[in-house]
Amino acid sequence: MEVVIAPDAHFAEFVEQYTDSLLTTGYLLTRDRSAAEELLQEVLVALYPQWRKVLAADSALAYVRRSLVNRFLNQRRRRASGELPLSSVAGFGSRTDFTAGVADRDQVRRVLAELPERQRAAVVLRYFYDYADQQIADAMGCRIGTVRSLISRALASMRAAATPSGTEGVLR
Amino acid sequence: MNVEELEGIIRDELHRDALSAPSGRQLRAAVLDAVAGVPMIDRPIRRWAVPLLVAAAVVALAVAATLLLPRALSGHGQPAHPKPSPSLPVAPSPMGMTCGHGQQLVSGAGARFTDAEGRLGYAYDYYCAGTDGSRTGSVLEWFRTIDGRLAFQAPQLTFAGANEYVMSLTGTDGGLLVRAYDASPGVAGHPGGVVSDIHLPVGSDGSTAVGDPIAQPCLATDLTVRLMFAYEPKQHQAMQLTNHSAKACAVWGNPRYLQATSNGPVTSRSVLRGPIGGLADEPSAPPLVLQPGQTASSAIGGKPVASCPTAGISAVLPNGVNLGALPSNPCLGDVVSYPLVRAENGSETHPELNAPASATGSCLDSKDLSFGFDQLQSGNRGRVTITLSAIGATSCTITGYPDVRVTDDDRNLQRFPFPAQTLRGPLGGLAGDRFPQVTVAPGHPATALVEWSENPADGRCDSAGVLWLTLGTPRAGGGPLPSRVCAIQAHPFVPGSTGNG
Repeated sequence: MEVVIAPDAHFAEFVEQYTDSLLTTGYLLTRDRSAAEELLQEVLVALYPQWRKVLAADSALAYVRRSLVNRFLNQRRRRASGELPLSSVAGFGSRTDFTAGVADRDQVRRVLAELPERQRAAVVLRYFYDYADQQIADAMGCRIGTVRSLISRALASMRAAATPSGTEGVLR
Repeated sequence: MNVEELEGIIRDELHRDALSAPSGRQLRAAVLDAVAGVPMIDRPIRRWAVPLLVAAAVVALAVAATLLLPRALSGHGQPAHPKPSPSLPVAPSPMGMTCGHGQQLVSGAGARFTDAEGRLGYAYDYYCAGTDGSRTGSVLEWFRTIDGRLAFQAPQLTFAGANEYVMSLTGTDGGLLVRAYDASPGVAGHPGGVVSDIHLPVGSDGSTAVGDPIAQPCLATDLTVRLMFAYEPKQHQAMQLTNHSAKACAVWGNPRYLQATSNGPVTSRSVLRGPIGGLADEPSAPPLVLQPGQTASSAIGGKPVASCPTAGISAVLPNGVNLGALPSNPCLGDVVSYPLVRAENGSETHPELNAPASATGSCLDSKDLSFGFDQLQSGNRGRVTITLSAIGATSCTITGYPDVRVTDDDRNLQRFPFPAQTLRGPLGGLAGDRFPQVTVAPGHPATALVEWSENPADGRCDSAGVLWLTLGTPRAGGGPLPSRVCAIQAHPFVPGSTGNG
């Protein structure tokens, strides 16, 4: 028997089932609970009118997660054109901390928290969701080479942070 | 540190971060609320998935029940005081709004909505509240999220007159639905206090708000006024207003009281809350829409007066509607007016406990009735005989159990038990199993027994002090009890003076 899925019912089901998971994605990207909620709500509200398009995708969850990442990056891109407090610029002001000779997990954590948005998005998709390069490129709307570059730079930053006495780490 | 170690740390840290992610419980409702009414682009997608369809329908029903049931079960269809949805961001400080000395800036209702261009916005209601229950009209401001912060959007939203109190805000497709109480003085002899649902477009130039009145102000002719005795959180009196008309009507605020004969002022003050009731924590009284049959109540405080004049007092609502003389004189000096609330005893914090089913009959409304309390101790048992006697030549009838409560010497109601209702006990009561309709006439009283034990083995014991009887409108009286009673029970009214029959 052929049936037509009611998109609004599917939307309600999707929201019920995946909100927590998508909120985790949003939180890992933004590192802010309120911002994560705002981000996800905006994405879901924006997608609702065209939910049939989401239904037509291979994976509705992947589609929405991709929209979430894109919206996050677009928001950050807009903000990046304006003024930013120095403390929110990744790496700024922390160099002296890195050279303090403490090469440990805490330093990695700090750099991870301060990664530029695109690097962080790529790292989250790679190391939390185990996305392949192509999946990350699809989610972020960029080329595979860009993904590899973003991840490489992120790892280099963290490696440097974990290297004592300010010695620049080089990924092998 | 090699790459594998570094990647391991990254994975660990991300999973640790993920544990701090917020729960989606509130967001789910907010999202579904936000898209309600938003049209979908109509391009059907077909699937071979009957089980999925069924599951989707079940989930949709569950979601709908989750969203709608609490509203349905709330009883009155409107909150006591509008509050922003828990999932809304905290209301930002309003732009260019300051409150006078002694006033408090309040952010009341709030809503998330999509504007005419489909963009998400947030609207909040602000006003200034005084400590005496007074307040200013609402100012509506709206915001958009820009760079993770709520940014004020000019201009302020103009939804109606300057003296509107927002009762609720609901996001709609393209704007807001504002339910508001218009506290402006009425025109052409009509009092103010109309409640309207106002459809307010946002972000579309040239559109104007459209209001649909849903309730007119309650007039004296719409309301049945009762003065009743309440027992929570302490024994006090409350004015009950019941809408007996066929249409919804609205009330708001603290009533004023006047001398019934001269319309001169009564020494009184208004409070939002106090020892006998009022609001829970709201900074101002909520406007109330009374559907037919619904009641609003205002607690009345004050000092008991030794000599109670018969003239009594009359009540006037804040919008000027004079309700006339109260059915009886509360006999209070330095009257304290509490706001009208939903709770029948006028206390949102301590709504009255469920009273036992009380007697029916014309005696409840009779003013030609006296009642007395006669206590008798017999061994380790005691009883109070409540006697209703006719005054003058009129007669009335009564059937059923007396509405009695037990309070301690400080007039604090003992939460339980109310005297249990039993047909009979060791010291008397109803002989048969049918409640008699007792006619109270000159020389023919009706009596009901309340009895107890002093032996804890007979049942639960509670501190006591006073037995209070409420009889219709607005009679109440109290008789002494021991400081501790066990297994207290009340029996029905029976003819005669002994409580047995």
